[in-house]
Amino acid sequence: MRAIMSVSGWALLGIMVVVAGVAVASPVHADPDTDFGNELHTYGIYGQKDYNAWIGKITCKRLYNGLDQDAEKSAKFVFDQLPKGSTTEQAWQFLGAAINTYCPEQAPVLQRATG
Amino acid sequence: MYLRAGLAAVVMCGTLLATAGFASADAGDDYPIPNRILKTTCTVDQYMAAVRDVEPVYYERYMTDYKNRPVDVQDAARDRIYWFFSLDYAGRRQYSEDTATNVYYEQMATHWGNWAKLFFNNKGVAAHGTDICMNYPPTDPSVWNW
Repeated sequence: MRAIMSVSGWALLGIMVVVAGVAVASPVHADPDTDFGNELHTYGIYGQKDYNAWIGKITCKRLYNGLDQDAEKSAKFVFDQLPKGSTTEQAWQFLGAAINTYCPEQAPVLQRATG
Repeated sequence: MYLRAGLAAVVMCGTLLATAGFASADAGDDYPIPNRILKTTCTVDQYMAAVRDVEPVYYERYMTDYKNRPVDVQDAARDRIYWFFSLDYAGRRQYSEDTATNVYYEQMATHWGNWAKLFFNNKGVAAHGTDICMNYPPTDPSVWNW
């Protein structure tokens, strides 16, 4: 009986390890552009995945080189690139997702805007 | 034998027609250079700054291409587009005609085929850029430093 339990215990542990491995492995292999696109979908922002990824990366570039000096300017840039009828809120959600995905070092820009 | 000669004649005739077609191509109000670019009073810097904001992906691609050229080609492309913008409407229209009727007219294109893509190749981009370019500073060297 103990032997059986021991075996099934190891099997269970094995399954847990495998499951954990899969859970850990999937984000590692994920494409950031896909993750970014998926996050945008939760805000009701659709459109071409590649286009949105470009805009996300260019948004970061503009923050890095100082063309957009604060989050307001950055959100305005994003808003102009979104389809007609998009909301200001969606522009800010896009901006937050872009910074998280492509330039987390720029997060203080967002904190300054909310502070 | 006759068949072969006939075939050769057909091929030659086709080539002649094709060549004649190119040679007689006229510039139009929007071809090869969009009308908005012929008419705009904005400077190169104003137009580029506008496109950087309203057509950022197009601008990004052009600048990537630009940066991948040797420095002398970059310099020549910059000089050439400033020269073009220094022309008045009639001069630009003539240039458009010259490039439409003679593919070798623009020497810059032999060094970099897409040297003026940001300006000449896309009517939509030209329209969006020229819609707002007057709101930007006339001189802004940062547009070439991307």
